Amino acid sequence: MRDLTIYLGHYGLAFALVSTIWATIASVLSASTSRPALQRSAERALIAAASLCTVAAFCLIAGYLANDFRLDVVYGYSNTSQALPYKIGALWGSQAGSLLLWVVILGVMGWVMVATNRHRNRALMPWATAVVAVIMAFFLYLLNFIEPPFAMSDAFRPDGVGLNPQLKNYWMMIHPPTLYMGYVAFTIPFAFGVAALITRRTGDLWFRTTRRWTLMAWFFLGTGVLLGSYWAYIELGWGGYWAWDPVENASLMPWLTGTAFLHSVMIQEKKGMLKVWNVLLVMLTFCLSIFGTFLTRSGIISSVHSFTTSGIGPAFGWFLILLFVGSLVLLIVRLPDLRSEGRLESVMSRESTFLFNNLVLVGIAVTVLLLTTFPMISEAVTGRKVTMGPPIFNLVNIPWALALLTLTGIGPLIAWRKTSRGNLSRNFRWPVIIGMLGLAFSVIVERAAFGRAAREIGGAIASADVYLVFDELKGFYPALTYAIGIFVVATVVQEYLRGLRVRRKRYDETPWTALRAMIMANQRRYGGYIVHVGMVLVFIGIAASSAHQQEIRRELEIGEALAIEDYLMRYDSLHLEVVDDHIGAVAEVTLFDRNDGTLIGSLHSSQRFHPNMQIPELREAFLTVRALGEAGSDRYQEGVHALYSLIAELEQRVRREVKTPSTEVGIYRTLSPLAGTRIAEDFYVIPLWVDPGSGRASFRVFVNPLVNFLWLGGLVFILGAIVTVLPDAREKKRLEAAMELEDRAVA
Amino acid sequence: MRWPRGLAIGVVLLLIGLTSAQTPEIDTHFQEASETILCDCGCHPQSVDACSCGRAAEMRGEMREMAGGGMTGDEIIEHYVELNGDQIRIAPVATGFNLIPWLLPLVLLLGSGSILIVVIRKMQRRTVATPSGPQQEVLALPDEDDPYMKRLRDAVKDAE
Repeated sequence: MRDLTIYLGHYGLAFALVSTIWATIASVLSASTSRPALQRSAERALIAAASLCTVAAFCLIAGYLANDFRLDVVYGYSNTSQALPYKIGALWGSQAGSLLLWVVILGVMGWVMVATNRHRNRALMPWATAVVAVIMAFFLYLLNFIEPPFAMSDAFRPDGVGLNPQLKNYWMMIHPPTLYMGYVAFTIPFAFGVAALITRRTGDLWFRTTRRWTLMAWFFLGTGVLLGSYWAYIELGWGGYWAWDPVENASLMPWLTGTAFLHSVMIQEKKGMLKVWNVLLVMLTFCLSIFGTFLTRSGIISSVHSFTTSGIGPAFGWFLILLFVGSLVLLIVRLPDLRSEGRLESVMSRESTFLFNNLVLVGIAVTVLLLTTFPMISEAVTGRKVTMGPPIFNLVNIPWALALLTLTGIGPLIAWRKTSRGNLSRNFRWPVIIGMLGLAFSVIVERAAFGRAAREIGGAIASADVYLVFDELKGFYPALTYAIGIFVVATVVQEYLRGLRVRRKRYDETPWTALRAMIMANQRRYGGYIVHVGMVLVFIGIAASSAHQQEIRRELEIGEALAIEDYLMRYDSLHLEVVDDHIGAVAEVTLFDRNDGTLIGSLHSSQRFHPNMQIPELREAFLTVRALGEAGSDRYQEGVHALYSLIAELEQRVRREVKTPSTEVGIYRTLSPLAGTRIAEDFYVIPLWVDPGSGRASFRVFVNPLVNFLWLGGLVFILGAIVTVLPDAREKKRLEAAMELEDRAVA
Repeated sequence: MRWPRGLAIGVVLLLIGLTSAQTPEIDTHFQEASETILCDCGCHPQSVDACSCGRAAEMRGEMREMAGGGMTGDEIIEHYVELNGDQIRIAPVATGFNLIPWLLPLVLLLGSGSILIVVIRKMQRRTVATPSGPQQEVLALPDEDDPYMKRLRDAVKDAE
């Protein structure tokens, strides 16, 4: 049975490759010979490939569940003591498995694309099918010839190595698939964009058809980025959530260009302008998605996420170049078809603010790309390697981010086409007044940092020390972020109130009915505003938690306490355990209010050692002690201590680590709005090391003010994005109108 | 020989003063170095100060020892750069070729913003084109000289 699943998966991938090659050939032939039967055959081939890839993925999962260590990926990323969810999650822990997941998602999306366009878009479909099939074929080539997931070995393998301990986290189980959904979904708008260029049908049909795909891709990518940040926050134990790791950057860049596209495409919808720019943005977004996977999987820039390296780098590199250059050449050839059908009437128009918004979003993406790849550029040009750590990313990107936040507020207040002075003053009056009051309040709150920056910035500029200038500017940013954030929220509230007032006057509705009807009548607009509020909360969370994070490191005996900010933390006990696949030292602490001594709560954090199960002596000892624990034996604790001693002894003997350490963070979260200054604050603790004998431990403790605004903002972002993605009757009508136009043009 | 009591107290106070004056200085040098030097554990790019791994703890110990031994923050940083090259710094020093990542984004922001204003003004003057592809039908945009639109605009202006 085991062999059957392996052969089924292996040959399934081979046949899937053949199917995608046929789908490519048939769809291209169909387009050039106008034979619909060939296109039907291509679509069926694409569906067959999707089915075969899905079957192959299930076969691989079956291998994980059956602990079939003959398979290299199962041996490398699972073991007998790995919990069931992580056995399934190990699918995307390995290089080959993650490529398989990519191609399965793409196959399913290709299937949906075919199913939803069975009776429409017949002029674009052959080329769109061909593009999807080519991309699938590339991934299947990798899976068949470079990274085969069903590669086996005859070596004796009683147990596997296991998944990297940092990946054994609930959020890590949903973060990669979510991110991949985002990356892969951008393939469909890209495919239709290319099809529109090839067929010279450069009207608005291609982007109206793929609008929901784009929104979905943007939603999943954004959610994936948020989930990844949350995983980093609760798992990596450094008190932060974004380290500007190359792979984090790779997920951010397509999201930024995708966001730019979602805004700029509205100008094409309304005025038939920016056609070149929109096609370019779709191409750029898709290429950046592939670039993200390339960075993650090629190991080209060392990173925490590049757990594996392999020979797929060159193949990916060439494919990326081919995609980008090919798309660009096609775009240049089709430039005459992409002339604007309208013109800008005023600088003071919504169109202009969207152009600035695009400039800033793409600018941030380019900046992140430059900084991410600068170590390679520097090595190539000067022969010296440099490191681009978080400080430079933070300092260089903040001015861009503040410009973006400001535009988020300005955009909705300016009318399409042209805004009169009267309109400007009417629309901006209250948001600006509230923003200015917000600025005054923020400067008072941040007076120390703001005042210091104001005093020192002149001297820093005079010294011509670039780093110093950036460092001093840092003092202005928190206050500016709060003030601009308040301004943006004021604009959104004003827009909602105005809409509600008009609606209630016209239809005599209750506020709740009017609100619901108003949002459903223009989901994109009002959903977009909710997203804007979400982004404000994210920005405030980042600004406050970065500027005011407090940290302390202290060694404590059991019963001792440390003080930080308004907290007093007492170290109560250390509990040793052997569970699942690790040995854990769980530290229990109690929190008190430092000022009045009242009890706040208790929490625990732990340091874990994941023993190397390839060492028979260690494996046997580990399993024995775990069994003692499960049986409730009196000798359990004695056994755990013996296990710690064995690890120390083995490490001395073999002169290398025989365990992989990881930490479980303890977080006390203050979410109550009545919590005063502690609102949305986290008390965050991890044990850096513990002495299992005496119980002495070294703790690293952070107080992260307002950090929960970041996660709350993420939830608001998700809510707003869902509103924009929901079925939209108006949008459906527009799409039908565009299709009718297309049909008439074809006729 | 017995020291006068006042002198003894004075010496003790002086010693305490010197020690407490030295400790913040050591802390400053240690902090400067640990925030500038990259933890070489091979995980994500984090400074020695930020990283939570065991290697970072070791490096912090080394740095504190160096600072305690009288080395300044710059000297400690130079020591690590000599051993490991420039890549041991968490970010490149903003000089020479390395000015590019520091300044180019800001230049891009200001430069592209100015260029965009010029482009928008140009776009305002541009005449409307007809696409040459097969999809010839365009959304009919009202002409500037359309008398109806002119009347409508005047009416809106009056209303404002």
